[in-house]
Amino acid sequence: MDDPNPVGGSLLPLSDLPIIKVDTMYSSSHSTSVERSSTILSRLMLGKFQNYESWAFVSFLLPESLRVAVIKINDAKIQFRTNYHFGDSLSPLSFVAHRALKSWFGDSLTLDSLNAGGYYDPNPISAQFNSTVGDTDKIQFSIDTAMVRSWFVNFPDTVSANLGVVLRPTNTNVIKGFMSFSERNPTALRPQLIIRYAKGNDTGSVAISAGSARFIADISYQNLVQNLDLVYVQSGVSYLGFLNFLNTNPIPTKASIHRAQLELTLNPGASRFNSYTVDSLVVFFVDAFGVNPRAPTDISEGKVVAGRKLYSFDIQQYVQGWVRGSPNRSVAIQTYSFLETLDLFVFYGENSGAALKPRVVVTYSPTQ
Amino acid sequence: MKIRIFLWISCSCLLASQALAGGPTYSRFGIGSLLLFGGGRIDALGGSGIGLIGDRFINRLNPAGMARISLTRFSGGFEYSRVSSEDALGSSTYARGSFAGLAFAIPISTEHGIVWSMESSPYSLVNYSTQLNDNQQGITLTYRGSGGLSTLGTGLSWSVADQLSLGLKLNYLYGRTRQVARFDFSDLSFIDSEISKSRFHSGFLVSGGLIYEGLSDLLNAPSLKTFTIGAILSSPASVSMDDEDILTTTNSFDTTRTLSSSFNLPLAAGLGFSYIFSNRYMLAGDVSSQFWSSTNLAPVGTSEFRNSSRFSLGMEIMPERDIDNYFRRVAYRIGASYHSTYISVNGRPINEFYFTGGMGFPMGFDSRLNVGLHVGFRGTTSEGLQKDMMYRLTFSVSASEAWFLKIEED
Repeated sequence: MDDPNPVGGSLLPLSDLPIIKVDTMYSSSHSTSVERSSTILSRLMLGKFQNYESWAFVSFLLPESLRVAVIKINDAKIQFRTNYHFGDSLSPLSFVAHRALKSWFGDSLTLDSLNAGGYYDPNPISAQFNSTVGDTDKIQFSIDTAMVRSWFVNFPDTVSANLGVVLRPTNTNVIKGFMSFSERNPTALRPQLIIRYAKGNDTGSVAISAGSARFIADISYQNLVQNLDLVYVQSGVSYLGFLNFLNTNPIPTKASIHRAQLELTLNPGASRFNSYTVDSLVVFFVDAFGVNPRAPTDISEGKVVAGRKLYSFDIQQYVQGWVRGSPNRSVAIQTYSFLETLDLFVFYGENSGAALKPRVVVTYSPTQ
Repeated sequence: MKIRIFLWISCSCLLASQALAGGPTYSRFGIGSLLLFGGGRIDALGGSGIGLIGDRFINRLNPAGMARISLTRFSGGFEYSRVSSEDALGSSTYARGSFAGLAFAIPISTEHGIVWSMESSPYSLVNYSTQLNDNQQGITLTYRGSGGLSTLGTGLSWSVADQLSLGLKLNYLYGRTRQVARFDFSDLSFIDSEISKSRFHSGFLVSGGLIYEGLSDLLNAPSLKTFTIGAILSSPASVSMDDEDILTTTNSFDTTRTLSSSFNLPLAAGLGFSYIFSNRYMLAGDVSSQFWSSTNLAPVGTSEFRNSSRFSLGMEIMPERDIDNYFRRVAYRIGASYHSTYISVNGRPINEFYFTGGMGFPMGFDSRLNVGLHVGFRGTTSEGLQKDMMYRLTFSVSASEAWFLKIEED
């Protein structure tokens, strides 16, 4: 027996033969808002650049075998391995360390709340570090040995005594990135707490490279969004760009959406990239409760079309719901490296020309 | 015997479930291709049966034809059909198997010809498939139709006089037809999808019939003693339609439309005769029509509805009984039919012409395996139309049991 073939097709009424059409719908509005996350990071960022500021936090998991043996801490240093910069790489990095007094985990922690007091002891536990740092250099800075000893002495009765160290930037022209405790990083390149200790006449040293770390970067909305006509997507902080499609014209309500490509045109002059930029973006569905991180996402790496950098995302599933009346006709754009860089992607908004503004190119078939 | 019946019904259902998709596109129009099903014996006679009355078969065309049934009788069957379609673009061949109905007839009073029947019969069939490829855009479009209407009926016959029998049947007409358009893209960035438009039909219709065997007395013509005439009338009916359109993609399932409406199934009428001559040969003929030009069912595309007519003629070499020669106990049947169907497309009427043949093999006491073959064609390749060559092989069993009868003891 034969598989279906064109025989008889010409007899079918036109109403049975859905046609395939391609139309474009345009974004009706956009916004930019911050969505913080305390997900485990593979990079720590520390420093200041222009209106960007990033603080780092680190605590070490002390080995139980040393706790009883340690009698005197002769020296304690923290070591970081650099792997990133944002800003002027030749400018010096400077910072001071403070003893942390509260847990610094949680999505809601901001630089404002840190500065409001209570999160760290305002008296530094280190001298100010101030040096030009290359992108593969290791840096070391000494910290207060009495504080380190207290971490051992108080163990295990007051575990909270070891809340780690807060690193407060004091420079102005560069933010440096360091390897964190992430398993993606080699053990030798992770942060280390190097201790020299003495017990009686015996001395020894240990390097601890297990612990927790994070950074909190910030830039105010006013300093970030300098042109309301543009869509800002900022890594590190991180700001998401939201695009709304309140009007799905000219796509009919009863249409089968075969493909829907969200296209964003980059404004290169307003964007900020460097050699560490991860040139990829992710799209999220926005439901009634906000950004839905579980909704399927699509990644775009961008491509140059007619001299313009274009980022395309497959949002067929969203658009199928929109044309059928879903009230939440929005998507959120986030950088792929939102936890590891400070890249800034800026796109033309809905008030730009037709060739530049955010749009969805829809391939569909009317079902009636 | 009951075990055999059970096995036979089970096999029929199993085989029916193995139907292959595809068939003539003409079944897209209206409520599908009307099957005018009369049972295994009548189908082998070219569809002639309005004037048939007898003890050893259930007349599915004319309920008055059951009035001679003296034992509880059942019949049912399976058919395998093969259609080769041809148009200006080429040809294709499809095959399918399906259950071909089931009927019971239970005599209530043999003295008065009162027989009660129940039956399930196919009424129409939608079964087509066509595929278009757009290689430039990398799209394969497959359009297919499936489903059809069936009847669930109960009837009663009554011999109101020695030579006049009447019958009445109430049918519940029901069934779902479905048109599906499927998009398959070679580019994986496109989502494959399927648009299914289904329609469930339901309604009641009443049909009545009569068979008169007294023509020889009426005309004082002894040669017409075995001549019977019959007539049937099927009432118009309001058939409700519940439409549901569903869009399915690889990541969604969406009902895009529901609608309830109705249409008028038009009046149908038919006349027929049967004549037994030389004690062994039976000739039967029918003329029937259904007045589709009066329906309010909306035609689609370039199709239109028109009154349908069917003319059929058949002959049977009747089996001999109480004889040792097996082949003389076999019934042999041939027939032919011309059917001007209820649709025209592109302004051209779509007509069918076919020949039939078959045999009824005796199986034990008063049971018969009927095998029928139907060969015909429909339509034409001119005017952008399609010509179908149709081959249908049917198997049905007609058997009886002495159920519900009171046996009087000496």
